[in-house]
Amino acid sequence: MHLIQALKPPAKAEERIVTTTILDVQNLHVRYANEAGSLHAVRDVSFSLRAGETLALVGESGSGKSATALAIMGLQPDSAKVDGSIRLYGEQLVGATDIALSTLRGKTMAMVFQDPLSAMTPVYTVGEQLVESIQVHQTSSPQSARQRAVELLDLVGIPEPHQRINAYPHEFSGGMRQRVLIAMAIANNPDVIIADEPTTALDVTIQAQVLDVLQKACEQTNAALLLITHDLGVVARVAEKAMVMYAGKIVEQGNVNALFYDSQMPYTMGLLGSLPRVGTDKSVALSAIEGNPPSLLTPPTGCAFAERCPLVDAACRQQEPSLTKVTEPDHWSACVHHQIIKRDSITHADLFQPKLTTESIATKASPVNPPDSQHAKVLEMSAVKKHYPLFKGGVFRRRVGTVYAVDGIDLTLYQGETLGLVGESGCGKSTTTLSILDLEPPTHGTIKLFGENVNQLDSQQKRLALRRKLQIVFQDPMSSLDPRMSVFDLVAEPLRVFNDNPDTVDNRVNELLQLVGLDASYLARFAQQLSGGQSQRVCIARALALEPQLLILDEPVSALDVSIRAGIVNLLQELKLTLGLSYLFVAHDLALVRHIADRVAVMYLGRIVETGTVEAVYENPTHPYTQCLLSAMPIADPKLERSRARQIPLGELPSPASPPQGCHFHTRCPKKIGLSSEQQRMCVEVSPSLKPAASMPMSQQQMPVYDKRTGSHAKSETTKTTTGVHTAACHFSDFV
Amino acid sequence: MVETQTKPKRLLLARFLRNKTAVVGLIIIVTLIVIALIGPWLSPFAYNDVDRQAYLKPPSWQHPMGTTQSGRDMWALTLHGLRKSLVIGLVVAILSTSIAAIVGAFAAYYGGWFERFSLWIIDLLLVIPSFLLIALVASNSAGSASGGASSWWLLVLLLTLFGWMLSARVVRSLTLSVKQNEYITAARYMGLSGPKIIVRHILPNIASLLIIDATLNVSGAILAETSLAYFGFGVQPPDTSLGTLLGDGARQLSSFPWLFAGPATIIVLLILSVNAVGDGLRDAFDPGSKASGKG
Repeated sequence: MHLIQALKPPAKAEERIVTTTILDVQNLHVRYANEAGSLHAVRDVSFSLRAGETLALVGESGSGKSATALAIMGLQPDSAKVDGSIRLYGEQLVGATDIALSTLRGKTMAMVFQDPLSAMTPVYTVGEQLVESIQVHQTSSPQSARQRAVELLDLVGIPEPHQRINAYPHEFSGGMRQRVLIAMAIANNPDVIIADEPTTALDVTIQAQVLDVLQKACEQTNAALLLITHDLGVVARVAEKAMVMYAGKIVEQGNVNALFYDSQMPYTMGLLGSLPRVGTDKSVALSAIEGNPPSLLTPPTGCAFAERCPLVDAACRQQEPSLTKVTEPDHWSACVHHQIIKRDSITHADLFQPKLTTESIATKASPVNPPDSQHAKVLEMSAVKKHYPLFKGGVFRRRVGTVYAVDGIDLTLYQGETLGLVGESGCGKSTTTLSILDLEPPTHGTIKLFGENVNQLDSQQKRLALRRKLQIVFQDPMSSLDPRMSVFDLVAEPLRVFNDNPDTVDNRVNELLQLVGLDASYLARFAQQLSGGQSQRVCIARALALEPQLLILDEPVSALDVSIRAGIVNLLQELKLTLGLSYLFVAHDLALVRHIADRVAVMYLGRIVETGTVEAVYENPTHPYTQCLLSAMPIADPKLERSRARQIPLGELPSPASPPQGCHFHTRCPKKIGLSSEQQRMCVEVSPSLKPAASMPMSQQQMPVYDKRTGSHAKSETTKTTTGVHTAACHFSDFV
Repeated sequence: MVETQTKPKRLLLARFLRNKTAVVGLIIIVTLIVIALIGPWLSPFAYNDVDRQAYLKPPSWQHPMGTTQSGRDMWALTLHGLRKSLVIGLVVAILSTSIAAIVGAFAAYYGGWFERFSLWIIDLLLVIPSFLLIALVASNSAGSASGGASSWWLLVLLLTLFGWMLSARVVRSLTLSVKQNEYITAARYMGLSGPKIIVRHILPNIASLLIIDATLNVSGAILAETSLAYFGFGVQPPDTSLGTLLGDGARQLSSFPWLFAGPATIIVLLILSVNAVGDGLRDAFDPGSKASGKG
């Protein structure tokens, strides 16, 4: 506590009540000149930031949120033209010289960047960089600056700061680096902190830790926080006020509660509706916003959202609506129809009605595979291990260790089922998928695909026959499409590999594009001419070309914008039912997995720690790690997000080259402290196996859903069809 | 369909045309190639004709660039030398870039012992003093009975043999980064074989480098041949190349400058414009590079 007091004189705390405007942005315009013309990235943005306030700026990629932040810091590239007014304590920043801005940057305003890997100089220690950022603005002796740096590291939760201060950035993990960057940002007690997607590159559990640190840092320094993010869950958790940005303009702003529970702008509603939520009915498809954001090379004449808006009429296209106050005290919306929305209390469910529910597809579609083939095992992995040797030295390479990427997992996937594989990065999810796709014997154990043991594939023909039956869709659609090929060639490629009749290739490609919701006009386009959602559709079409039975989806939507995601998820749901596919769905987004999967397996450091039906695992998470993941996941519901108890794992993910003995999770387990020393020893020494979990559902884990009409949180009626075995690998699952 | 497909290429062309130096260079190259091709019809003399009335005569109406000591027409010789130099340059560039592409891409794609072996060969070839070796082999074979017509082919092969290594290293590192892309993994899981993946997905994606590299290799090969020829190890008489002409002319530069001036001008023009076109291509393919300047 003494550190916190040292950071800021206590008198500052009283200033919190006096709400002085620190940063005032009026009519900000940012234009970038490029080859294709002038890109109007930020159009007429105005807002103000008061002391101690947390303001979130929400938007999809390309909406101009980062351009706004850079313009405020004066860090925009030379090709950018900034107009309007940015005042910091009344002082005009637009047009100020770089030298003048340098005295403010880091002292009055500080920035936390998205990518902690590239935001630090690799050749200096963390301490040197912290000391530098202190000494730039303060005249303090090297000793006292160093002392201060240790205090800052301690404040942001770096263990053993006295030793770690001498470490280089590469010796820190991503989450630790982001903590150091926050420490640098608050080093000079700034009045404004701008955080540009500070947790986007981090895992959920680390994100929860870093958000806590950021919030704490702002509270201690009484700094105003401008948080730029695309994640509505993060907004719900951290921010008091929020602005939604679309096509360079602010389309809605107000208190977080007003925005989330009483949105008056169709775009905001669509964003909220496109999120899968824990607690909603799974059989209802997500509400997807159709289309893509407009290009800002030619500024829209009417409302920028008109092309995608279900409420659109002639009035919308006449002129771009400006922000108008819709409700007191401070809720603004840029929609012509906000009065209608308010009068009829329209919600996203009314606007973006899902075209199909899973039930309606199921009744309409006739599955390709006859029903008696259900419960056939598509994939069976038993005791699969995949280890990679670590080598050192150039000429005389010697083995110095082993990476236990996958360390003994059992997975079974039945026909027509979706199995969600969940875990943080580095837990071995991708290695698992790749070892299935490699069609080569793993280090240990057996992989059976469609009943055939991969270890016993002796001929190339058998291998190719098996290849046809399983395909993959990758995370990043841009990097998984060859930029030199047209859409037609991309989709036709697998057909040509298997020498399908060339006459039918044309028809088949057209058919596939139709299947994924693209028309023939896309055939001649190249990947760079497609938006993210369209390229992912092309990837799906390519994966479906050979009529596979098992599709491995490796984070298929995490690289896409929120408004695009729902459309892809709905498409995947629909395809699964109409084509009778089985999915292995790899993701870190727990809410999404709950929405799409039938069963789920939670992975930690190469092992599966909990598995069972989605209902069982989400309602009754038994392994402490699963509980941590669920509680760290941000939920786009401010009241719920702020009121629920949080259980966050300690520290960082250990290296898979030297996993802890016994239970892999024991180094981070928050429940271990509550155990007796005898029990703790068991956690450290004996590695637990999967055993049936207690079947009693914990009602408090059930997530209530906010109902706009009644204005309260109601428990959803989830039917409990707990079939399949729910198992968890924890010695004391009954106890914890 | 055609319109959208040509779009990236049209953009490329527009970027190239914006670079004035490169356009001038391209015009000069095309002119030189045309002159070299129709050379035999541009001169009343063949390059090996001997005019017994004119030994070492300065430029005149009959011999626009003068004659040599043996009475051969300098204009006809220069045209023939240009043709030979261009052929050597082009063939060496295409061959060495192809070898570089194949060795570099396969080494990077397959990795393991093949990669180590290839890198070892590359390093070995790089440390060998290639100039001396080519000079030795070329002059020895010129002395043998099989000389003459086949000797310039041998020269091409030797220049290729010692000219591909640096490009191969660049191709290898580029392939390593292209290989990271998921479309390569996707192609593998589609059932495509390694060589097909390299030909269909990797080489087209480093094509820009290969084109630039081949262009710059042309000037490299011409210069290498010129310097060999200057010391008498290049194309052997009665055949001739720009380098051979330069070498002969340089010895009498002060007293008979016309023997040197013509070939020298042409070779400087040729090398400068090939390099300008290479730079222009690089900027067109990679607009992010520094040289392209601001929009």
